[in-house]
Amino acid sequence: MKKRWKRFEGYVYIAPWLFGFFALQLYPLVVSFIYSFTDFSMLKEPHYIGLKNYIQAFTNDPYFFKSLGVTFMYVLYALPGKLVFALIIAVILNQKIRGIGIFRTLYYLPSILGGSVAVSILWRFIFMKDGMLNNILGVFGFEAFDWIGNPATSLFIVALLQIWQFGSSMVLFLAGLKNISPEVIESARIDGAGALQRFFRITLPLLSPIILFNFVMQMIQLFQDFSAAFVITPNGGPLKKTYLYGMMLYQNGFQFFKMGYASAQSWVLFVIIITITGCIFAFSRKLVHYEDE
Amino acid sequence: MNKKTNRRKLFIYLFLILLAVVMVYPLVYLFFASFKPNDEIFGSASLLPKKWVLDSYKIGWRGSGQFTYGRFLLNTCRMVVPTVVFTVISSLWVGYGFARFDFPLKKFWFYVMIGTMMLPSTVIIIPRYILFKNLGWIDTYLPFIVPAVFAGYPFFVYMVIQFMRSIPRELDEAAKIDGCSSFRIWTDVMIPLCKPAIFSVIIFQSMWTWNDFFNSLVYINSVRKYPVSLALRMNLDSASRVEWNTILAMSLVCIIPCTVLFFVAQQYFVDGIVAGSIKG
Amino acid sequence: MANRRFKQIVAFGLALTMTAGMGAAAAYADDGENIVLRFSWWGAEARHEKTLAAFERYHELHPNITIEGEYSSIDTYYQKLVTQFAGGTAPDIIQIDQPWIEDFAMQGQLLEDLNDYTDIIDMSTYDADYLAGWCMNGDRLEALPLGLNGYTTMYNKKALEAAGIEIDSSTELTWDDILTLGEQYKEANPDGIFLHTDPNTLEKNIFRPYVIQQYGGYFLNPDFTIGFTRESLINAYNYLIELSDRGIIQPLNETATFDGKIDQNPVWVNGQAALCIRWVSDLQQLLNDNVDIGVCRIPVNEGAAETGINCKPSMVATIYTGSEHKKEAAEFINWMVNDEEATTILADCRGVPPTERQRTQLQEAGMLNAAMAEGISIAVANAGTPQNGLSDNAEVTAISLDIIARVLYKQISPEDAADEMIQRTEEKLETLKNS
Repeated sequence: MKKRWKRFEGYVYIAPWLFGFFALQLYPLVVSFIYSFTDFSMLKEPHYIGLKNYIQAFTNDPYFFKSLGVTFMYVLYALPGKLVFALIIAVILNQKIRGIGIFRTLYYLPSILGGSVAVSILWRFIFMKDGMLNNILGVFGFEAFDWIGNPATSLFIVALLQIWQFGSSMVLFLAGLKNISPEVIESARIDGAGALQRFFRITLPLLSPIILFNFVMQMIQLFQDFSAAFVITPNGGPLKKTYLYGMMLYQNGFQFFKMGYASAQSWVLFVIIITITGCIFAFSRKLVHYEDE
Repeated sequence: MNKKTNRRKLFIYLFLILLAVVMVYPLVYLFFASFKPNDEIFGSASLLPKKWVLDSYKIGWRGSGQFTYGRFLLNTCRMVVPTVVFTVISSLWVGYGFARFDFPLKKFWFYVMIGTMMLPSTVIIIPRYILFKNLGWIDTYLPFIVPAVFAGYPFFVYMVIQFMRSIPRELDEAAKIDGCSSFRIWTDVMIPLCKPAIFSVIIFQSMWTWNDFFNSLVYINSVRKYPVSLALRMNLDSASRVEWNTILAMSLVCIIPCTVLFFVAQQYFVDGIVAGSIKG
Repeated sequence: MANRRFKQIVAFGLALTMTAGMGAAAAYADDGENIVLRFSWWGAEARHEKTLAAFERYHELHPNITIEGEYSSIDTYYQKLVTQFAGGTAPDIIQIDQPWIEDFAMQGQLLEDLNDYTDIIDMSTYDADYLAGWCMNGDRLEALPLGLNGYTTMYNKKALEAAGIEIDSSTELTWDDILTLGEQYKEANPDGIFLHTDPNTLEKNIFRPYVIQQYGGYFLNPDFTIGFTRESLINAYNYLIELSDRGIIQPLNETATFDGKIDQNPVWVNGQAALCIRWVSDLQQLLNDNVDIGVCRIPVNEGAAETGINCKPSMVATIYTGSEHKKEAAEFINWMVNDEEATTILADCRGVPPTERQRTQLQEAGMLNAAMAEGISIAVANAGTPQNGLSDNAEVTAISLDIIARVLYKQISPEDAADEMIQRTEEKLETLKNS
């Protein structure tokens, strides 16, 4: 009897989440799924229209695939950039050096600023035609270049804002590094492993759960993010080169009164993200090392 | 040997300082911009103001005239502190359940939890608004706090899971043999070892709730209850003259609390070494 | 030690939580006699202060009525309002932008018919045609204007003087003048830009008047057909290409960053730009140390069918159908627009006021911005067809903007652009018609 109960002990701990899920989260999710089969405009009674929204997205929407492509590129620019940068800096900052706390705080500052309106002014000033970057490059004889306005570079500049705010990933890596006991690394050093070897053989595997976590979470967030693009190029830029998926959803839902359509597009994105995440989880089984296994 | 470490240290310092300049120069730029008149903020790329405007902080602090930023900062704290406290407790509790127990449907619930993060919030806003309205939560901070009580932020639960899974199981096995209940293992073994994770939760959740604009926008009506994220945009208008120095000034003032919190909390990461060495 | 502090923090947090949850319910509690009205608007500090002062005065006059202001910035005002409509929690009195009347009308009856309140609100002070042209949803009068607006050409006196170009408030420019004067300006000031734009201005204030002037009438007809013709579109696209190729306007690349923030573009801030065609209400925002603004009529070619000048109200007051205090809300609106004291308190914080009485009062007191008043009177004297809300449909505007961008990037010919504009607009109109 007691043993059977034991099997369910975990439920005691996940119960609050389960309750919250059924009471607060399930209803909006289900409703948005139902809306995706209707012409819901937000204010009027929705009517069932079958798969029309989904068909429309795939066959008759000039922005759907374009925006999807932009979003994939955005994730491809920002995700590796942000994580690799954060990891390298975290490893450097994970040392006993005087004043290291100041450096950590300084590097974290841009993340705290978030999507504030101040950032939009700032980013324009760095990258516009008479901006700071061109002033510096001008010293070396480069011609002034319109980084934000030029369709070839605008998306990258938006991604750069994300990379600049690498602070939160860095903090997670720092926290993870603190969980690696120095003795393990020390004993490897005594065994004659070089710094690079120690990093790849010891630090990286022991940090792999946090790397996986950072990777998955950042990816989920980047696929939906549009705040960074919104402050720099409010309408997706001149040729929609920064027209991120999240921005399209927002426009369809709140500006064009097509909430049903936006719901359908959201569920398409949901399927995309969950498929990629599933693949990453399956793939990670070989790469991620857990201490509890 | 000593010479070599010194040179290495020098190199690291140089690198850190160089990077710090790149990272922080934009913020320094913003700081000086908060002393410039509009013409200079938008018209020139020079760092220092030609004409110093010294009252931007004083004027900015006045807010809307009806309420000052003192009020908005206090409101933000009333929203952020409970949200953070409950997030820490609930994520540790639920994360422990996922990390250390085997139970039927565990994988399923885990994927459901991660899945709730994958649907863009744009399309959930309306049904959630209607739900919260029926619960009577509009114009209160409850839409932030109650989900925190029920571990409604999967990011943190998953984070705690990952941290707990990198703690060797021998530790709780040993405690179990000593006759500890699972609750005692949670309080006496897991929580102390999860300190870096706890501080990460505190840092992130305070920063995110502090900066959260879209949810505050939807749920908070009364200006008297505005958090800073709403207050900062309160005076932006496309058709009226906006003194940008006051807005930049307040943007900078409003990052101070999170910065101080981070500076204090990051020192605890160093403490983590002590905690981590228990297992050695 | 750390543990104890941690526990203290937890206790402190719990205590705060308790207080945070309370006080919420108390805010809107009426006890029958004391009524709380909610009034929402967008704006900047000056408007907030004056409106709040008006509430205070009204409370002194009517001690049982308290008005709570819910003010924010324009950029997310719309989203918030729509969410509140969906939840049935919108404020009693709502300031909205004129085109939204039709937006909301398509979504059901959200705004009260003010014809039912003629015994409370004295509307004789308003121009009846103006109300009929701008505030009706079918035969329902759903809004009262709070300020006047209209397209105008704003010129920077300093920049023009330096280039030796003379324009004054009586100048009647043509679109061809813009090209010739623009080249003249460019010679005098090679780094300058004659016509200052952003993508949105290009579409709304240049492209559309240019199109409409060719045939006269609506951009989109009320019966869900297009008003513009293929030819009028092609001519307009060609004109935009001309402006862009000759360097009269800044390349789209550079202005896109300042979309909706035309006053923040260094070209304008540093006084390098000469003209800007915009709403009169933008005037104060466009002023700075390097810019001294004069106004004149927007460019119209000779022999044009009409001027295409939009003279819509800058913002309007409405009453929410879900309000529990509609009568009191109407009483306050009446006081706000018709009381002399209210006019003194509010002054021109919502632009040039809509009624003759308010304007004379403010003008006599010297409280009305002269350039703005002049801009309005020029616009009104030359007003074109009152464009309907349908023409301002957000999605049609987005389509049009996208096509203009591709035309200027030479990705599509003006002819193909016109065909695409017609096809996609008609498609959208079809869905609007059927909904």
